[in-house]
Amino acid sequence: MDDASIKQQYDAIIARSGLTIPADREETMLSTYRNVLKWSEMVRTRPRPATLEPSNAFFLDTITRAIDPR
Amino acid sequence: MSDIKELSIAELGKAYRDRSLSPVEATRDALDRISELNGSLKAFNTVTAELALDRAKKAETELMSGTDLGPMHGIPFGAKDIYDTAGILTSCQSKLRPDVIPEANAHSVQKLLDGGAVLLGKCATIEFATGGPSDETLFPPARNPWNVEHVPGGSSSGSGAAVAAGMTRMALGSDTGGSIRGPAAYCGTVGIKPTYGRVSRRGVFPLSFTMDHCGPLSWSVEDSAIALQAMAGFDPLDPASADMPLSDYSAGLKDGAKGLKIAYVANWLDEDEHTSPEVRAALEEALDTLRAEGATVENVTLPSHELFHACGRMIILSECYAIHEKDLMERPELYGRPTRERLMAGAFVRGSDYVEALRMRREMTMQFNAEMFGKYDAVIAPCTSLPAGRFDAQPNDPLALSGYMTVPFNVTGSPAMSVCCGFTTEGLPISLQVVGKPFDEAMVFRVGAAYEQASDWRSRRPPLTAEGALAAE
Repeated sequence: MDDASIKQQYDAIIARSGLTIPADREETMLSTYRNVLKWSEMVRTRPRPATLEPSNAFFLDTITRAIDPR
Repeated sequence: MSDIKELSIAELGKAYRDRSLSPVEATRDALDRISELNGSLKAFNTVTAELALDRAKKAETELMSGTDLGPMHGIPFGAKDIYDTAGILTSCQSKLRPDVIPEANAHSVQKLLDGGAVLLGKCATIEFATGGPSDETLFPPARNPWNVEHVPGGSSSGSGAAVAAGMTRMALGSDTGGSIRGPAAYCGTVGIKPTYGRVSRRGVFPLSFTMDHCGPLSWSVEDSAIALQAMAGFDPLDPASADMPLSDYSAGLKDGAKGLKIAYVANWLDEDEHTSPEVRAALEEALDTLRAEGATVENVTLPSHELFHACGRMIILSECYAIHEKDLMERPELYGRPTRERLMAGAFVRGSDYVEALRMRREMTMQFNAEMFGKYDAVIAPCTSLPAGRFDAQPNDPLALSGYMTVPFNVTGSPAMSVCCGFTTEGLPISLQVVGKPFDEAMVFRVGAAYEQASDWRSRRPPLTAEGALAAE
């Protein structure tokens, strides 16, 4: 992705999120956005089967036990 | 009697029981030490001297009358200022919380108090346990007792500084990406992040629900074993709490390293172009020490630190952003800049990034455990690639981790402990991590104790003068 596209995405995210970035910190936050894009690619380094659950798979027992503590 | 501030938890306990020292004397000594040094170290945000002395008197009466609540009875401790403490300000170091006084104690604080421990006060933290040291926060940042011009690490910064300076025997920390092990490393103390789910997070202000761990920092491995024993255990009201049996963490502390098979993560220091040669040399020497103690140590290659880092960071950023989003929009000026900007980076993570990171974590955790613990008893890794940096050279990048190599074991949820393994020529501590299989904290303590006993690093204390001025160069 070229720099202009990244900047366009960054501006859209900031506008949508409602966050305020001071002008003197724009460059730093844009650079931070580039880092996050890099990590976004890294967490997709290899294909995963659809059945591979996330590490925090929903587990009802942890909720119900809070209702009736042992 | 030795200097009280240098007595371990076990030594204090023995002195209480043979009546050569009382909990009141030990607590007064700790409070005097805090008075003497806190002006320069800023390790405590709030000191609860009166409450501490009341509790110490109660402990003294109980012990004198034969009521013994266990190894933490009458032992002074501090709590990171994100742990709820009933009736005591719990500020998270933030101007967003200048007057938050909880009604109840965090689960682990309550367990320690039930065991007769004496709360000295609340230790400084990095604001909301993320970002970096800032002068814009409710309290000033803690400083490193080995040299006040250097950071103590974060985010359990005050906990590390207080233990290293002998203000307290033990202090509670929390660790989402290295916030117990990093300050322990930079301050030359021990710090254990137990297995995810081993210690309840209830009543501790969250940073990242699926990555937060609570644990103690202390001067010695034995002290951490005793403290963790007192705070660990199942809590049905923490959804991540694990209903797993606790072993006796002190039982194997004298078993040594003979016969153990240990893996050393050899690739992470090589991957970091900034790795300090002194850190590398200290790690190599520590491995030789363990070999000399009879352990077999083999080099292994794990997935790159950067890969673990990407996975962990995507999860942490998403979860902490969900917690702070409203305040970041409505009153961002109340955060210090380092914390505000790190939290804001959560807006850059997409929903699918988060889910992919969670799926990746499951994969990496399964792989790590299968490859390491079928073959090895424990894993050793560097804790940081660099010693503590200077306050005036803090990175501009809001996501910089200053050489921490701790995130991988937040990703895997493994028990991991920092142990001091040397000093730089400037006198700053260097540490290694001992990592165990899930819920095997006992092995982590055994290996850590074996190394600690075979080395001489615990005899070195920070260069603090009697007047409290620090011998910073």
